[in-house]
This record gives sequence, C-alpha cells and structure tokens, in this order.
Amino acid sequence: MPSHTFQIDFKRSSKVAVADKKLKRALVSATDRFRAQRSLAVEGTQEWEEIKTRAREIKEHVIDNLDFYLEKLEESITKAGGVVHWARDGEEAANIITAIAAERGVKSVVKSKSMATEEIELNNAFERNGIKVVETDLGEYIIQLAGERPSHILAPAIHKTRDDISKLFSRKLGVPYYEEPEELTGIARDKLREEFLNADMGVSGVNFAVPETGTIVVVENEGNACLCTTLPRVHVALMGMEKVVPRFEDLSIFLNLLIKSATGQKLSTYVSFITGPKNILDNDGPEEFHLVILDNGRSKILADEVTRQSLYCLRCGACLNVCPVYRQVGGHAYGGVYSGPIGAIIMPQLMDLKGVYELPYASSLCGACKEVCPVNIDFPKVLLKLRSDFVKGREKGRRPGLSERMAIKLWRYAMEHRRLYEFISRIAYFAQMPFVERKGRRNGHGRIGSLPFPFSNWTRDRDFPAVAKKTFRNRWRELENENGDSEDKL
Amino acid sequence: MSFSVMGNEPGSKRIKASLFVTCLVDLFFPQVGESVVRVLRRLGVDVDFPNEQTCCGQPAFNSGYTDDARALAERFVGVFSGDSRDTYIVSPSGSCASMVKVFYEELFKNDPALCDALSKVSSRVYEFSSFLTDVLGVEDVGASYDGVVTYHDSCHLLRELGISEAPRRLIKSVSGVKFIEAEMHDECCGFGGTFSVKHPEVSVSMLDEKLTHIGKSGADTLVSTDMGCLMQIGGAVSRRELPIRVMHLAELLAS
Amino acid sequence: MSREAKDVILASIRRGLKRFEKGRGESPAPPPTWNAGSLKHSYDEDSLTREFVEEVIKVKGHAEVTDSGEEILSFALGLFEEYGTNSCAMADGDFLESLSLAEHLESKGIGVVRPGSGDSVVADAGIGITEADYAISDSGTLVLLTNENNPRSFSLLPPVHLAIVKRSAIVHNIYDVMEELNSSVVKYEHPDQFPSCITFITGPSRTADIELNLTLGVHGPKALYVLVYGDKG
Ligand code: SF4
Repeated sequence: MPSHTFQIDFKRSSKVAVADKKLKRALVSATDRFRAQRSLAVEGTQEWEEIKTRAREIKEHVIDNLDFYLEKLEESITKAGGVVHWARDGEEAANIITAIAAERGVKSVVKSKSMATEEIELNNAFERNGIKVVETDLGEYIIQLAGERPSHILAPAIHKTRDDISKLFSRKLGVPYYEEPEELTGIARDKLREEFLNADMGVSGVNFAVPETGTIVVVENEGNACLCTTLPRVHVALMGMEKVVPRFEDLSIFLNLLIKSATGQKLSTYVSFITGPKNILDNDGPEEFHLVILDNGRSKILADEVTRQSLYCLRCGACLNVCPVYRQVGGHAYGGVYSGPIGAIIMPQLMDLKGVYELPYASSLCGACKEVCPVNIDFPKVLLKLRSDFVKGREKGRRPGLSERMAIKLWRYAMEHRRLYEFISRIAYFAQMPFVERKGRRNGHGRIGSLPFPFSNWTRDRDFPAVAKKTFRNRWRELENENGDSEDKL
Repeated sequence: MSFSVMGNEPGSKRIKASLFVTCLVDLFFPQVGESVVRVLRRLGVDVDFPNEQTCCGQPAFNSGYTDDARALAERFVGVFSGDSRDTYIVSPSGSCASMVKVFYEELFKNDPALCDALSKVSSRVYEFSSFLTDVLGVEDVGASYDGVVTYHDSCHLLRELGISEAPRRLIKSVSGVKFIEAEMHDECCGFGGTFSVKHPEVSVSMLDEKLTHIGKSGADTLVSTDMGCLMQIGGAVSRRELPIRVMHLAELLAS
Repeated sequence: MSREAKDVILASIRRGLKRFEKGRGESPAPPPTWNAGSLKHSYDEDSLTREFVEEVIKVKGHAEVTDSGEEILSFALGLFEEYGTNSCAMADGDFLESLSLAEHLESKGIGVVRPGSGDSVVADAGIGITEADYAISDSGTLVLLTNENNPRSFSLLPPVHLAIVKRSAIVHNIYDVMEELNSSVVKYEHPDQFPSCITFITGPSRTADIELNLTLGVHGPKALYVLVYGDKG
C-alpha cells in the first residue's frame, strides 16, 4: 500500500487553476477578506511586534531542545492519565491510531480539522480497516462528501460555491436543494449531531502542546472539536512533533498570534485546553486520552540550520492569504496537504515525491509571506536554500534537467568574461532582428512579439524588449567625456 | 543650477558614485542608465562606471545555482573593491541592490575573507531612490512632468530593503505630477526573475491583476524602480496597447 | 514497537541538533515568558464590565448586567418563552445554587437536567445554563473549568447557552487570565485536581465555510446569553 496518494505537478495544475474563473473569484474574495481581518486585528494589538519576537525566540528554544520537551510532555501526559505514542512516519501513525480503534471495538469515528491527519491520510487508513470516519468541521465535511482535499488551512472548501454545496448535499445526503448557507449549515448540523452521539472515538489535531502540564490546545470556531474531544469514549490527538510550547503561560502569546493571524478574531469561538482523559469525578469527557507524536520527516527538517525554521510554523494560514501565487492558483495546485508558501517549503522537506522539489519554485520570492508570518519565518531564504539543494541533486538524485543546467553554465561563463558578454550582446542584437517589431515604441526601441521556445513562455502574453543597439556601456564611453562639470549639456 | 545641492560650494568635497547599472539596463534599457547619470550629475555627483561589471548573479541564485551565483558574486565584489572607500555604489534596481546587501552574505558565509571584502562593498551600495533621499538629502530634483503618476512597489526594494517612502517623495516632488496610489500597490507584479518563464501562466495572472489595479487608479503613468517589474508590466502594456506609460523612476526624474 | 519508535525519533532529533549525549540533559532554560506588564492598567470592575458586555455583543452574543437574583430568574424564564422550550441542562455552580435557580425553574414546570445525565439527554435540553469561572473583557470571552459540577457538554450541546458571570470574575485580557490560571490550577499536585478541560468560549458557535458567509450555531449553540451579576459600582 503506498503511503501517500499525493500527486504533485505544480506546472500542470497551476495552469489549469489559473484558467478557472470561478476559482479565481472565490480565491480573491477569500484572501481579501482574510487579509483585511488580519490587518485590522494586528493594528489593534500594540504589543504585536514584541510578542512576535518573543514567540520566535521561544520556538527556536523549543526546537533546539525538542528531545527534552517531548519526553517531558510524555511524562506530564502520562501523569494526567493519558497515553503517548510515537510515530516515525505517517504509516506508523495511521497504524497506531487504527489499532487503538480496533482494540476497543470502535465502529465509528468523528474527526475535527487537523492538517496532520490529512498529512498521514488517516481517513484512508480507517476506511481500509472498515471503520467509519466522519469529518465534522463543516468545510471538511463538504470536502469529504465531495471526495476532495482541503484547499486552504482554515477554509478547506473555499473553492466551492453554495451552488456546488447544495448540489453535493442533495446528491449525497438525499435532501432537497437548499441554497441558503443557514439551511445548508442546519442540514450538516443535524446529520453530524447524530454522528457525534454515536461515535466511539474522536480524533483531533493539536495546535499547541505544553510539556509543563501535559495540556494540549485545540483552537476552532464551530464547536465540533469540543464535541469530538468530549462525547466519544476515546480521544486520540495527532500532533506534529514541533507543536510544543514550553510553559502553560506561554500559551497567551501563541494563542494571540495564531488566532489574530488566522482569522483576525481576538480569540476564536472555542479554545480547549485538554489535559488527559476525564478526571475520575467528571461527569463527561472521554475515558481514554491518547496523544500520537508524529515525526514523518520533521527530524530531517530540524537537521538543516537554514530550513529548521520551517518547524516554527503555527499553521495560521496568513502566508497563504497574502501570497500572490496562492491567490491565483489556490491550494489544490500544490498537490499536497500543505499549500501556499508554507506548503512550498515544507512539502519538499516532508515527502519525497515526484514533483515535490519543484514547489519552492512556485514563488516569485516577493516576500509577502515573510512579512506577515507571526514567527518571522524567512521564506525567501528558506525557498532559496531548498532550490539550491535541489540543484545540487541532494534530493535523492532528483534535479533540474540537463538543458537548464547547461544554460546556466554558459550564462555564467559569459558573465564572468566581460568581453565575451559584450560580444554575445552584439550577436543577440543581430540575431533578434527578424523578431523585432518597431511600431509603436517610444525611444526608437523595438519590441519582440514572439520568440521560439523557451522564450515563448515570455512572449506568449508579453512583449519582450529588444537588445539595445547601443548598450549602456557603449553609451558610457561618450557620457564619460561629457563630464560632470558640464551639467548644462545634459 | 539652483537644484544642484551638493558640491557647489568651492572647496567642499564632491560626492562620488559608481554606477552599478545591472545587466538588464545595460543590455535592454540603456536610457534608464543614462537618466540615472543625468540626475546624479545634475545634483553634483561625480559618476563613474566600472566597466568590468556584468551581472550580480541574481538569476542563478534565484534559480538555485548557488555555486554559479557565488562565482559572479565574488567577481562583483572584486570589480567594485577597486573604488575608493568614499565612493557610493548606486543601482537603479532594488532587487540587484538587495542581492548584494542581503543575499551575498548567505553565499559567502563560509569564507571570512570574502565576508570582510563584501561588507566593505555592500555598505556602500544604495538603491537609486534611497541614495537621493538618504545620502544626498534631496526630494525635489528639479524635474517636471505632466501626468497622473502611480507607483508600483518592487518587492525587493520594499521587503528586503524596507524602502517605500523614498520613491514616493521623489515622485511627488516632480512639478506637474499628480500622484495617486493604486490599490494593492505593494502586491507582486508576477515577474520574480525566472519565475516569469517557469510559471508563465501564474506570472501573467498576477500581472493581469496588477494591470487591473493600475487601470482603475486613473493614472496615465506607472513608475517603478526595477527593470524586472517594468519589463513585466511594460511587456503587457505594449502587447495590449494599453494607454499607460511605463517608466523607471530615473526616467521620470530626468525629465 | 512504540518504545523503539520513540528512541529512533529522539536519536534523530539529537543527531539533527548535533548533540550526541545520550539520555535527557539538564532541564533547559527557556526565554522568559512575555511580560504583559506594559499592558496592565488598573481597571475598575465597572469599566471591565462595560467592555466585556460590548465585546460579547460584538461577537454576536447577548449580554446584560444585573444585580438581582430575581432578574436572572425572569431573564431565564423569558428565554424559555422565546425559544419555546421547557427544558434545560444546568451546571451545579455555587452561585447558581445560591440563587436556587433550579428550584425556581422547576416550580414553573421547566425540566432541569443535572450533571451526570447522559449526552443525549443533555442534547435534548433547550437551554444550557452554566457559570463561568473567568471572563475576559477585551475579547468577550467566557472561561469554563470542567469538573464534576460543570460538565463540558452543558455549554455545547443545547441550542442556546446562558452563562452567568460574576463581575469579580472579569479580567482584562488573555495575559491576565493565563496568569490567574497559572497561579491557580497549574500548581495543583494531584493530577485529578487539574481540570481535564478548560474551555474558552467567545460568542456562539460559528462557521464561514460556505462562501465565507458567517452562520451561527453550526455545532455548538446558535445563541449565547451572558448575564453579568454583581453589585453595581
Ligand atoms: S508559515 Fe507563518 S504565516 Fe504561514 S502558516 Fe505558518 S505561522 Fe502562519
């Protein structure tokens, strides 16, 4: 059984996405909304820069001492009556979780939104084991019914219109076609309420875990995560191993940063601090609590001093919302579970897949992501490091094609030899002549409307400037003589 | 001339600047380089052009070819180390300036001698607009232009060098200019170096959005500070024959 | 199996960090927690209450201030009428007890579900009534600590949530509440004293998953009412 079913081909899928006008409209309105809400919240937080800096320091510290904190977390959770499991990779994590279910005769599972469970494709594992699993976050529920993957960390179904959802519900749930979001939400509420009350096991993700107290924190708006972690008799939480904050008190700045960056709320509707299973006297809550700590490539990320910072991510989604590339193509184009800038940096580090190493090139290096990231991840630096690793063939022999490598070598050689560079520029000047159109340009400059491949990638939609008849350095020879004192000549 | 603020008083030392013209300007847009020279000279700066310069290595670096980029970076440092210590290095590109000022460090980090040579060079590097406002202390360069101008923030100038006010102040001081902000003026135009040809569809989709906002702003002239962005925006303006003039800040200031 | 995985993971973390000592090192010293001192002002209860009420309304809840037990009772009765229900699930808080709210409601023919009832019984109740342990004025948040008298589901399953908050329980911001929690619950020695769940509730349950339309009451309550109780200034 292959451990993932992800298919990554950004070049192809981004092309398809860009042509989809409906998708584009949805993306623009979603990212505009998230951007505006975030900026408003950040402007209203005078301590923002200070807590960002502190959060970054704390994250650095945690990752530098991750072995200590994970052991401490295990100790605290065990003391609180929970059980901690360790999973080296996605398959192992899925096996652990399905085994917990099977040993307890679990027939049905309710799940709240968790990127880590998407990463390990947990639903497939449950289904293979004949266990029913239901996504309960409304967006995830829609996605599950449609048999798709989420397209945004926070709003998994932003690519779907209400019409799509109405049709989906009437087809899959046998209800009449309703179009109002209230009605659709009501249908989902009723269906899922039954699932909650009948489920034997709840699965959640983890936003933060506190070794000091053995507490895990789950952040959400719908209340489904509260229900998943309250009603079923077993609660299993899956956590990427970087999610640690050392002390209980640190949660205040991390919650503040995460929630404001994500949705611009001061606090999300629900934040649950869960410490072990129910206490003996409690009247509700799960009898068992399990935490699965997932490595799945994270220890490899940690080994690289430049890309290590990818592990500081809080999964707030702010970098997606400001990314001009994400805004054009949406989450599915990235082909994996994480998309946008954070996807472009962690997917190639987490998964060894065809096409994954090209994701760092799915960025214009504009740096908008770096500017909003609440833990100051230096995206351009990390993207460039990953590109460089790819070129060096560090990634299991996968590297760019020979023609690109040769072209760069030749280009470099020319740039290292100024006379050759000048000579080539003259050749280019003459070689371009058949392509140059002279109409409609100022300054007597030609424009080039069409060039052969690979330059056609440019000229398909944009004119290319013609190489100048006289380059700047040639003009300089004259300019130099009109020296600075004779300003009036200029 | 009244607006030549520097070096007019007898005996005062003239400011010297070496032009780091960038390969794009050298090969495709020499008039931008000329405009830079014109503006700087008008302000009394002694301009020189180290002839050995070629490319700073950014295209290779951005594509992941670190070793090739390093070779060109070393070459760059060598070429500009020849200047006297008090010579500024001025470039009409925020992107190329940030390559030297921000990213070279990454390339040289294992070589203390190179780091040392780099720091001597990179501290002298200024992007054109910030050189005018921060070093020369000028906002009004005595230019005049009749038009409604909007400014596109080039990503590297804005986010790597943190410069957004200098070009705006310079534009607003040009007599006859009406300045307006376009919506999303700090959103990437989609150029991104090799990104523009690796992912042309995405790049053009970003560009479409940029052009929509420029169009809606009511400006008749778009000014920016980087030939990459201007080549991208200008390439579509020319293809679609849109009624917008696209120019480098230096060209506006030389007019 | 699990043991082995743990050792492998910890070893590869150490390898990645280029730290080769076996076993656990000394407890490392993290950077200091962020000191919210710069945001501390001396708020009086009045202004905290005012801000809290405003913020609850901003997040689409309802909030009122009262200084009489009778008002609480009549407010609650009004809700039963408004929502056409005659059942509720009520937590066992000291304050609710002191008002004898359960007895009063029962005398009006309203069924009161108490802690210890099954989830489906709670789910059928029309209104969930709870007492908040803390409230945050800056964000309009209720903080509920789970224990035998305060089940988690009472604020979650019924379609309407009515929460009573004492004025003195309101603090200004999340930093303050975390400090309070830190000094109260974290120090407990016995694990069973540490609440199995602490829930922060800010407004009624909501989603924006369908074309970003804000819809209330997706899984939790559709409506949230907060009564702030205490002697007025
Ligand atoms: S990388 Fe930064 S901005 Fe992006 S999701 Fe993670 S924390 Fe948020």
